[in-house]
Order: sequence, then C-alpha cells, then structure tokens
Amino acid sequence: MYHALSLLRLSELIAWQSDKKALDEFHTCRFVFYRNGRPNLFVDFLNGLRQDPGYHNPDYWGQGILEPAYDLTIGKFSNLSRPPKSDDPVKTEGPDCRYYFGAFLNHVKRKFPDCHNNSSVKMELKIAKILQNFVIRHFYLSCLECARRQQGLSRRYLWKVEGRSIPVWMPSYMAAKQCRDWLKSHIDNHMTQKEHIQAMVDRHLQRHVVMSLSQIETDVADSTKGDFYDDTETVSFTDDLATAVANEKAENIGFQRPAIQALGPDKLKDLVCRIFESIAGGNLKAQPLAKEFGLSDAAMSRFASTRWSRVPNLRFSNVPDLWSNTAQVLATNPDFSAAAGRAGVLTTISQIIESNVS
Amino acid sequence: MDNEMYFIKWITEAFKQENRETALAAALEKIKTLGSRPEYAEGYQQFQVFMSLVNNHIKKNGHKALSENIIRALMIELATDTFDGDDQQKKNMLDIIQSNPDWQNEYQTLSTQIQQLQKPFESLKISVLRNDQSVGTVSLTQQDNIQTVGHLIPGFYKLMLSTGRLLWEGALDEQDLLWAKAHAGQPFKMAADSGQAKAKPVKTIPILEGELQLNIFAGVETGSLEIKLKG
Repeated sequence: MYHALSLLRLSELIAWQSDKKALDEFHTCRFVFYRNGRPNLFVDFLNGLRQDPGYHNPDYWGQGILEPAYDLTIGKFSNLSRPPKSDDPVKTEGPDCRYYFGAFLNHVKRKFPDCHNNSSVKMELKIAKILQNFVIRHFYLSCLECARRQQGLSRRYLWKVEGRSIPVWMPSYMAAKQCRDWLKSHIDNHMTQKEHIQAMVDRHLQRHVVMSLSQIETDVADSTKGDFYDDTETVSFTDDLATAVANEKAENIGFQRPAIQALGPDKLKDLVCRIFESIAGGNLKAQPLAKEFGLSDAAMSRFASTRWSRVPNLRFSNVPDLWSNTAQVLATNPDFSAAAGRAGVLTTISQIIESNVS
Repeated sequence: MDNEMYFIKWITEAFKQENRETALAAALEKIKTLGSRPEYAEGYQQFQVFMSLVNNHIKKNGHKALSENIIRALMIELATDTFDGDDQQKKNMLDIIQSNPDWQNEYQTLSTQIQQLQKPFESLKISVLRNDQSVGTVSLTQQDNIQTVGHLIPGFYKLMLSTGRLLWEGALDEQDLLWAKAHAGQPFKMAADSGQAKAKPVKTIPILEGELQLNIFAGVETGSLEIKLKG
C-alpha cells in the first residue's frame, strides 16, 4: 500500500504517526533527489553532497566537518525516537526525523496554501524539489553545527601582554594559567600580529581548529570596556556549565567581593559546583551552605541568591554575582547563542545581524 | 528552593548532552513552556532578565562568530528557498547579504549550485514495467503531453513515476493487447506509422483523479499503451 502513496502522504505518516513502514518506503524506494541528472535515494544523494559539497568554504569546513555532518543529516531524516513525554528531561538521543519531516510539511503548507490535490504528479515533483532543498539545507546547517562543535575543541583566550589584549585560540584542555605561561615562554612580546601568534600556537600545540583567523574577533579588548571583567582573561568554554563557571570564578577570584575572595580558589570552585548541583537537584538550601563555607547570609545572598527579581526598578546590578557571571560565560558559547537566537529568547536574528552590520 | 532558578537546571542539563545545540533548543523551549505556569512566573521573569544579560554580553563582545553563523544559515535557507519569513523579511535578509561582498559571493555560489541540482525536476518521467522489468520510459510536458509505449505482450504492468511512486498497476492480457481477442471479427485498420490500431482504445484508465489517462490499444501481435497528461 505504501508504494502508491504520495511523497506528501508518506511524510505525514512519518511526522504525525511515527510510521516506520512509511520511513522505510521513503528510504528504500523513493528516488526523489536528483544529482548529476540521475534520480537518487536520500542516502545516495547525501553521500554525493558529502563527497562533493559544491558549496565549499575551505575556511569553514573540510573533511573533518563533512563526515560528521553527513552522519548528523542522516540522523535528522532517519531517527524515529520514542514519543517524548511531557515530563521528560531534556535528554536527547540525537535528532528525531519527525521534527524535520514536520517542518518540511509546514513549509509545503505555507508554500501551497490553496492546493487541494497534493497527490497529483505535478505536485509530487514540486514537493520533491522542496524536500531536496530541505535536505541540502540541513546538510549545510549540519556542517555549520559540526564546525561549531569542532570549535569547542578550542577556547578563546585573551592574552594580556604589554598593555595589549590579543585574542588567541588555545587548546581547550589548557587552563588559563597554562595558556598564559605557554604564550609567555613561546611568543616574543614584540610579536604583534595575532595571525603569527596563532600560527605559532597551531604549529606547536597542534590545536584542532576549523575557525578561520578572520573569525577571531578583532577588537575584543575595546569592546569589553566597562565590563567588570575588564582586566581579566576570558575564555570560551567547552566543559559543562557548572565547571566552566566555577573555573571562571576561581581564575578571577581577585575581582570578587572580599568575603568570596577569602574562600580561596579551590573552595570557591567547590561552592559554585555545589550551588549548581543543588539547583539541579531542586534542593538548594542557601543558609546551611553559607554556614558550611563560612559565609554570612548577606554575602551568600549577594553571591547566589535565587530570588532577586522582586525589587522595584530591577536592574542588571541586582542580579547576584554568580548568575551575572553565568550569563557572561553562556554568552561566549556559540551553541547557546545560536539556540537562544533561534528560540527567540535572546533577541531576533535580524537584530543581532543589524547590530553587527552597522 | 522553589522554581525561581528552574532555568539554570534545564540549561545545565542540556550542556551535558552529546547533541548540545539540539538539547539547548529543547531546554529553552521547556523553559518557555513552564514559564507560562503561575508557579514558574517569578522564575521566568528572572530568566528574562538573565537572558537580557546574556544578550548584552554578546552585543558587547560584538559576537562576530555568531553573526557569521547566522548569516550562513540564512544564506542556506534563502538559496534553498526554505526561508520561512515573509517577502519583506526575505528582502531585508538579501539586502544584508548583499551589503558584504564576501557574503554576496558565497550566496551566489550556493544559489548556482542548488539551481543546477534542481534542473531535472522540470519534466515528468514515467517508467512502464512488465513483470517488474522496464519496457519503456516516457517523458511528459505540458506541450508534449501524450506518449506511447509499444510492443506490449500480456503480463503484469506497473507505471512508476521517476520518484519511485507507483501510479498504477494491473494485468494486461490478450483481451487487452491483441486485436483478434479484443475486437473479434472486426477488420484491423493499421496506422501508417506504428503498425498499431489507433482507432479506439480497448481500455481507458484514469489515474490520480484523471490527471493522467492510460489508454490501452490492441495490435495484431502486440499492443500499446498511451499515457496522456491532462491539463
């Protein structure tokens, strides 16, 4: 019965009824993709894109990106996970093809709002063309995603030297102090070109990188003026969030309030991790924790209060230090920024772009 | 602790997942959904302030990598014609891309590549199979909307669209394909060019609510099948 179904109907069965037979029919019998004048199955078409992506930006992706991007795109159109429950945690087992087929169907609906005969052969070809474009889109978007993941193998370190701030991509396994020490011992202080410094780092440390030098921000030093982290070294993070924030706080302990400074870096790290763990467990008890770490209730409240929005004329300065720093750490993470931008909780995409263009 | 910092829990959990971006997207959706419940109202207000802080930091840092990522994603959506915004938004995005020569070049390359891949979809190809073996392929357009496959002998036939979709299947026997059986006692009028009788189809089968019409003709030794694309 599946052989005679239109591509649209098959997609509906996959997206809305999790129909595995429909998915099998799509993957094994439907030659809805064209490449070099020949009809292709999904997997063959995608393989062609992997081998010859055509649209190729050597700065942005190479073979190290195309392979995982191929796998990711296969998953986007093949994985049929169990239906999610409303109280499920956000654990994911990779992409779910129902979302991708669903998005494709929504697009078709918007494109042809007045079409009442979606099973016609002429529509079949138009719809196949849209699906092909969707697959191309998701393959290239997978390339971008994999590039961002690879970027995660590096951390951006702002090297302060001779009164200048030079952004350098360093291996993610190196802590800030190690970065500073390595650069101090290997790079001539008079070397001003960040490209040369970056080349030295890449040559000596065999840093895994897919970002082009042009993507390193050129004026981080200027742009961070006014931030209370002005004179600190910043890094983008690849660890879990709690560890990243804890490291950030410990590395910049000199900029904390006196009561927090008094804890010392190790104890401060421990405190931050404990707070994140408690929040994850839904059982943060601020007073006992403050007592355990020898902090006053007031110091603990300024550092990590969980209720801070109920004040008249709420301002950013009302946000406790730990959450303010967490926001700053998250802002350095491209995955988070991209997800937030797309979810509409950050700001609109066009606003970001306009602010960068102008 | 109640729900004032619930968003930190979801974001932290998402960062532990292998597919981080997908997990983060799911987490942010979850935070938004929970935020509409009264018991999460305060937490959601704090989340909004928190995200404003994140946004401020991104702007302050002039997050070039992010904007380049977004520009590339937009280029892909526009070039593949899968961008979901309205015409005005589309125009605005194209203006932004064209404001930068590098982006403009990249967009042009991508668009050309995708347009080349799309060409073969312009014609409608249908394969005719007898007992699962191909016996002919026709290519139909609005201008050239009737095609014939000849030399057919009895068997089980299928018409398949080039996309692999089955359009029609059925048995054609001697009664359908051989003149002596189909029109017993009637004289055979041979068409000058094909050797097939053109006068009247033995069978006419509408396919897909009549969008296609299949006409079966009988011949002296073999029959033929005519596929007509309507309107």
